[in-house]
Amino acid sequence: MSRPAPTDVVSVFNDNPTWTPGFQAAGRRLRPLSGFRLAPRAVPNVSNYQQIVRMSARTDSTTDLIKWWNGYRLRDIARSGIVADVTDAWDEAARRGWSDDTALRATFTHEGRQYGVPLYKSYFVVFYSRPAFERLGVDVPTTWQQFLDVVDASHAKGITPISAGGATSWESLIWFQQLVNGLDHRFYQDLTAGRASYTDDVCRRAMALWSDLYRRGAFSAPDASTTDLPARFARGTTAMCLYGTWNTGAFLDNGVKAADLGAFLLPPPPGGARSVIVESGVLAVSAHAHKLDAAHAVARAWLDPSVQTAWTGFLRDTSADPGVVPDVGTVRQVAAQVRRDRPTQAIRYWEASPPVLIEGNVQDLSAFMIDPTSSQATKTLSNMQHRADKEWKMWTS
Amino acid sequence: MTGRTARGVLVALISVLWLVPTWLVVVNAFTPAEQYTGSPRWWFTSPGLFSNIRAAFDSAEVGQGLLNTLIYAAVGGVVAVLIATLAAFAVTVMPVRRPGLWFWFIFVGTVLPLQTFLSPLFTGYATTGLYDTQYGMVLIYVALTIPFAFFVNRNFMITVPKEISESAQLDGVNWLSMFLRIHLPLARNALLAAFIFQFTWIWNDLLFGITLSLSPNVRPVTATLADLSGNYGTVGPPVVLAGALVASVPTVVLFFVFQRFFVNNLRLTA
Amino acid sequence: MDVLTPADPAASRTGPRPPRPPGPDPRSERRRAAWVGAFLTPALALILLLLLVPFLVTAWRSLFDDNGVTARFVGLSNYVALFTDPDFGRSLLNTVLWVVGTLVLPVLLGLLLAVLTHSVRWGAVARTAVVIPYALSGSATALLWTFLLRTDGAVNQTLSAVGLGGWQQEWLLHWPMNTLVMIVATTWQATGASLILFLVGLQTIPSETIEAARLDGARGLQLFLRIILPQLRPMTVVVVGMSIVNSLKTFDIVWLLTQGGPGTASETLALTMYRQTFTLNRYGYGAAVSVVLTVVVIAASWLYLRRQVRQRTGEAV
Repeated sequence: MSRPAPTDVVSVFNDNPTWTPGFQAAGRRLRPLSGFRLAPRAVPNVSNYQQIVRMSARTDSTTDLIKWWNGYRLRDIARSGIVADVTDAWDEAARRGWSDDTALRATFTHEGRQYGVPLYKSYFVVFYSRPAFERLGVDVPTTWQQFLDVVDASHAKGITPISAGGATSWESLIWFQQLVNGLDHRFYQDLTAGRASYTDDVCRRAMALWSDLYRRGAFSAPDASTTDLPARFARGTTAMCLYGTWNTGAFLDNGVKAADLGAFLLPPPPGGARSVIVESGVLAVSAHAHKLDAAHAVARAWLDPSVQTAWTGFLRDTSADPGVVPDVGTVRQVAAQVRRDRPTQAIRYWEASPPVLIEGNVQDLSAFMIDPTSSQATKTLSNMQHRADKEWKMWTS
Repeated sequence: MTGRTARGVLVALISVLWLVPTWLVVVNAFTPAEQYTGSPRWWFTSPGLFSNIRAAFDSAEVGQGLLNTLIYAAVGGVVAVLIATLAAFAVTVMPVRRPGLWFWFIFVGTVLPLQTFLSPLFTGYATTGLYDTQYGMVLIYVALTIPFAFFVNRNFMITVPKEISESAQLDGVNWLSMFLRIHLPLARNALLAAFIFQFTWIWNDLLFGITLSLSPNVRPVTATLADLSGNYGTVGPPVVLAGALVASVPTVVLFFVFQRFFVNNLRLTA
Repeated sequence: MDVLTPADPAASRTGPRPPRPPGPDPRSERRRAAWVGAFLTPALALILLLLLVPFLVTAWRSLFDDNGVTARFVGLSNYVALFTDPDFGRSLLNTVLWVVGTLVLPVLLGLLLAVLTHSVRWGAVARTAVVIPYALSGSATALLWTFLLRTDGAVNQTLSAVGLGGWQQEWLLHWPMNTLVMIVATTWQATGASLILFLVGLQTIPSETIEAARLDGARGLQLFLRIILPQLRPMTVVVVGMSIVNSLKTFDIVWLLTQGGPGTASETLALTMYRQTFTLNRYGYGAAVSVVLTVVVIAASWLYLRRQVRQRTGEAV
């Protein structure tokens, strides 16, 4: 970078400019613990962000910390030597009792070592509009049949039951992952590890369920945008939306009153068990950071409850430390349900398999959403498997 | 007579058609964020433009971005047009041995898809220390806008009668003063058109602004506006539109102001 | 080798050239070359260093199988893979659609409007209306067209409001409708640019020529076709040339509105290049696509421009 930075500051690069106050708040708590605060820098475009991280890894201009995605995406950059080993931060967190989530830790692992600490731990839940539910006179569904009843009731009243975008974005994976994982959690893990096939029975049943929901008129048009959702929730013109809890803050800032927003875990489809999709961002140390030791110190202190409280308080999302829950009604509702129901946890599809495979498959799912018929479902599944055969070979070579 | 009314009606129709989308932008930028229903509006409600603008200026560093972009577009545009006109003059008027070669050399600059050289350029900038500096931004903007300005000016200059430059040569005037005193004033309107196009192009560029700059005092306004409407946007469409509208005002004003240079009193039809 | 323009303008077009003075004077040759150099060098240097060299680096990269971690030299196999890829054909088709669409619509409309608005009372209003979209920033435009063309957007709403509900469609979600609709969106912005260029071009027509033609009895369409159009040729070349180049590189609007969807159905060559390079991190393959795209653009513009380029001052027509 062109200007010398102050000495007690560690730079963090991420793709979300709205998080700047959050990083600064976390930095204030980090200072007494590690000796350093945070100086955030952001690029708003996700694709550009990734390119800049990769390009700058080959030069002298990296920041000290970077935000990334976990699972195979983390393994991708760990393989390239872009990020440093932070296994000691996880050991520290386990020793201090901050987080002993071994399933989560596995998603940060590459060849036995961890390469990042969890930025947050979000769940994919169904957000709902309390005004809409009141108008329909329904309660939060606890079984799949009750969920279908809510869908039918909304449709009959002219309220859009579920807002589901994805025709041009990654969101097309949301319902796919929910249904496959909901039907059979073990199969979802095998599928994303390359041990099962997209043309197997579970996938077919999931696609059939999805098409059936479309036939009932459960979904909005596939090019619906989540930036319009808060306004619709507030007016009660849309009832539900399956999304990540990391978006709670955006909903609340955009016009939904806290009292009008609620969230519940989607009940499992018939034959399935309680399971939830988890998404966790990564805070990683740049391998070529100028202030390597400082960055490591910050990574070790990241999961300290005081830091997490400040950070998730801003983010309004759940932390990897289950003891830290921000004071937001919707988030508390979700955390309580997770504690009560103890669902099995699966990683989000976006990070669950090699990135090139996911990018292509998500495009196929988007094409399915535009034409959700059963013949298209068969074609989509075989395209996805075709690609999986090719890309798994390339990943392991 | 009917020919004239028919033309008038056609022009009026086209104007209305063209104004409809602009109208939508303006109406929705004026809608206060709380009154946004999730669908675009066609009519004004209460005026919320200023609160939207304030929200835009607060959430992203739009003010600083505007200043940066003004520098890049003004300086970059002027420098690029001057350099391009010098080259156009050289290729059309001066005794150059392979005008075709030089034309293609410079024209190829417009041909290259912009994304192709993002990566080598980034590496080069990082190595030479130009990354995240205002000089670096001006430099790349000048290089990118020379080719089109060159093309416009060259094609304008070939319509200038040869006799003018020949009589100047016979008078013993040197190339520089011929350029400054004769061809530059003659090509004034083409120069202005080229400047306005390139000013607008630089003003609206997003790709290089995002890739080659990071600090608030270097980022152009398009990058700061993109903060508002990115994946994690916490403000709704009305605020984004208000910000974009404010950012578009300078270019619109520029077009307005220079409009009179593009039209003269040529009576082309009865 | 023609170094200087011949002294006799009349003879330059047809007759033989006058005899040259015996041998050039080396000192004045050098001075001449120095002058030419001074005028040309800034442009050449900037373009060479900042545009051409990075492109050559990318072209070099296209000979490797590069995923950011390891790079293996593979010669031309990226190109072979490209030409045998079924998606490439669709990409090419879309790109051709864009070229034809943006040649026909913005260029013709710009020309029409440049001429028409001269003779109409509110010409200035019409010109302003058409030019403003060009000045609007990209984020406003993308949001605007999403507003209009989404399935629950303004266009569908208006259609149902005026009773034409049967015409409602998912404009952006099916091919080729989405490509056609995006071409219309681009026309809305691009016509302003060609309008301004044609206006500038109209100013190069000497009024005596128009008066003379009018005295000869030429009116309206005849005047337009026989006198104005030929005189506008240099500017027409600019507009058409740039239209071809820009349409071949179409990226922004397709990326923002459909991301090349559904699937990859509406991708253009520039989009394929972007996706391969930046989303899938296949740098070598993406570089090959960009080299192919560049070659296509150069070929297309050479075909159109080759005759124009050898002209010099005063030989415009």
